[in-house]
Amino acid sequence: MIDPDLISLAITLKLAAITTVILFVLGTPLAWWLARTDHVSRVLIEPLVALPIVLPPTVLGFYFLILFSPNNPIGQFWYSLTGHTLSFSFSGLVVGSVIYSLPFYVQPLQVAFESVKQEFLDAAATLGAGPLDRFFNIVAPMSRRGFVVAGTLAFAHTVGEFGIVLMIGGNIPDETRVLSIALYDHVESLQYDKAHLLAGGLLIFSFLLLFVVYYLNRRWQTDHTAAH
Amino acid sequence: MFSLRYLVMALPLCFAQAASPETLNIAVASNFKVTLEKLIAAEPNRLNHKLKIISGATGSLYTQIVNGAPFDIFLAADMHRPQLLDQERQLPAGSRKAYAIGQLVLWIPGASSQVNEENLSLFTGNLAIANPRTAPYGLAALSLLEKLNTKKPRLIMGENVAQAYQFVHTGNAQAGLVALSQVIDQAIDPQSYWHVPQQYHEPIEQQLVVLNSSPASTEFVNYLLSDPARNIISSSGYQVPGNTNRD
Amino acid sequence: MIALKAHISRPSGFTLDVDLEIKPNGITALYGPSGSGKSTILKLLAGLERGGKGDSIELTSEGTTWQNNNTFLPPEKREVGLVFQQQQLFPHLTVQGNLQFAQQRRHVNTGLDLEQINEWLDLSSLLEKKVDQLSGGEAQRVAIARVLLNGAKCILMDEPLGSIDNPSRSRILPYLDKLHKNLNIPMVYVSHSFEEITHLADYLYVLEKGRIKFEGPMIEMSSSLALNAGEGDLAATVIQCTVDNFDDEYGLTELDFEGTALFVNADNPKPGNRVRVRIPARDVSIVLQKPSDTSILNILAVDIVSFTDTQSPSVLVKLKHKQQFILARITRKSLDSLHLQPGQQVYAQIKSVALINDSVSQ
Repeated sequence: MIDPDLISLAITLKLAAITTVILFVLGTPLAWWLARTDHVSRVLIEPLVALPIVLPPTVLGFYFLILFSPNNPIGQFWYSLTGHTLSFSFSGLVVGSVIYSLPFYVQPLQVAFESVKQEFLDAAATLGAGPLDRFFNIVAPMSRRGFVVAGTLAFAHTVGEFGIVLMIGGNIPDETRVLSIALYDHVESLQYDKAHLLAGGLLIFSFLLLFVVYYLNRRWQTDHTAAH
Repeated sequence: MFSLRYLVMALPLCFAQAASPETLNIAVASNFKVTLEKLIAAEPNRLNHKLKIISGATGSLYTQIVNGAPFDIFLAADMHRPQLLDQERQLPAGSRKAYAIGQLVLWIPGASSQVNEENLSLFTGNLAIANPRTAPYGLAALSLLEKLNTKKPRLIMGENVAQAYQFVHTGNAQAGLVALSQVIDQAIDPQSYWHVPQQYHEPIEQQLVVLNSSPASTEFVNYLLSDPARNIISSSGYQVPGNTNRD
Repeated sequence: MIALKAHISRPSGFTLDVDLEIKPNGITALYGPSGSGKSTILKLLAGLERGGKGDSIELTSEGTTWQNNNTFLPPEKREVGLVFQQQQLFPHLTVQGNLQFAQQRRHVNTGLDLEQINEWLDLSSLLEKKVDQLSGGEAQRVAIARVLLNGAKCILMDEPLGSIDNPSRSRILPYLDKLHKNLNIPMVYVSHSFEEITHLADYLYVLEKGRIKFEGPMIEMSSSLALNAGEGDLAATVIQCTVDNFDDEYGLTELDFEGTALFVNADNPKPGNRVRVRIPARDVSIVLQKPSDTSILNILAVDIVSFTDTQSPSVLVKLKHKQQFILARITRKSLDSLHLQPGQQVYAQIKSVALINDSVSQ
């Protein structure tokens, strides 16, 4: 019988990885749009995207609980599609995590995109590069750093997610019992030695991740400073 | 220095002031809070001391007490934490008493006919219970499920019985094993729940511990165990203990 | 030929109201102070500027509409190359990478290949370098090469020498001359440097506050008093000559200027070639009698056409030699003491004559 904490570790990493990939696909165009648009709707969208940073996770979790319920449209739709509730499922956690970590992905990436000077895009356009071409061959390589920071933050943030999972996870051992919940359970049931193990592990992991990101950031500082 | 020494000598006096028997600090488990407030409101004249109520999860309150929180009485939702405190602090005999016995119900919102044992046997959807590792209601629920021949419902574990209730209330779980006190408090239609008989699980005994004995604490505990109080407690969805002392 | 009719007004007060044509060959120059609208015109041509509500823009290129009220052709479809003042080479690519980027998106095969362009612009030593390792002049050469490799049908240059220091500037001009001579594609050159303009332009638009103040072929324009009056010390004339022969013994080239000989320093130009010659006005002095026994080689018989009417210490005098004109800058004191009058026949002494380029120009 595998140590349940190892299963929790696997679920946590899987959740963080899938969330980061989804954010990469959905969050990148959003960040690009926010970086470039003059459209009036930006005034609404930007604070909406930033909301999960300030809202207590329990508030988000509470609303998710209501939204995911089969009594309401979204939950009903999912239930009719899959026969399971969106809450208490790994998929539900993914949906929650994507929204919860959205600003942590979008904001650093948006900043990186904003720092790509319009002149480079203009030059590329006159050389015959259309919008997608410009994005993949000019913007993306020049925003490399932004992608790394955004992805890492989204990943690390999801690993640490607790409040939302507490509200909608249902603590299902091989599906929604992530590390932070396992840790909480250990504390609640006074198993402090296990709690220390998990907490210490999470702390070291987070620190290492951030250490690497900041280090890379510093090293890449020297690239792309001068340009003609 | 002269003045400093006076200051140091004066410090204990400050603490003594804070521990005045005038205000009684009562820590109560969340699920009993509403009932406690009813009890206090029922006899405003009987209690001659000021009461301060601090509510929370039994576990959190326990941890706070262990770390020095100045509670005088602790009304827990289980027996386990009071037992621990009794042992750790070598409390005088009679400091620990049962004050209520929790009752388990199977709640299926929107049931078309009276919910009973059969519903549980046939149930295959999401069934919300409290976490057995940390909550006595959860342990009781698990015990019930083991004794009954069930068709394997999908067990959703809430952190406590309050969260289990929340799961059912929002419709995410189609049924739940929650506390009788909850469905009474929320005036749920009796048709939609089944009061689980005692034989299916260990009694969910809720015990109190007197951490700081004083005339005020004695008066309060006596009230809690008095007949009028027991009436209120049982009408709130608990059973009341027969004996008053516990080892 | 590209035709642009634009009327733009911005809340900041900036307005542009122009109607101009870019000739299908040679260099069309846009000259004027900052804020006069020259860069905006370039951006409109390139498609990097669309104008806003209420602005009216009509832009066609050889019959195809690039922009009007209903259409807008994006820059990537216009086959127009743009060389900016700075910040244009992609910093995440090497020089080679930048050139490849252009080559991969080549519009048409103009017959210009990497080898030829390398040779013209001396790029071989630069290919492996990263963009931030290039000097200003080197970067501009790479930018020009990139545009050529891309197969642009028209090259727009927005103050390309603007951020390059003076000594380097004179090193780049020969490259631009080479392009001017060898390429069949038209160029639009924007600058506020009169020196660059007189050196390179075939056709000139002078802009002021968003409107065209003067326009015309460079040769004609250069002797315009009105144009040169504001240039002070930098006033200069551009004339056209034909190369006669090369004097081996004295190392001088003899040019035929309307039948009169002019001697210049030049690197072996081909006899029979038409060349442009630039004469700074301050190097031209006026003499009433034909001088003899003078070290100055270039003396022309001229008629006084007119002169600037000003109270400042120096004046510009427009002189006619057969079909072309030259400007002289002299003191007002001399003007008065020599009693110079329009129509008077005098002699112009030209101290230095700079051969602009060895090119066929209009």
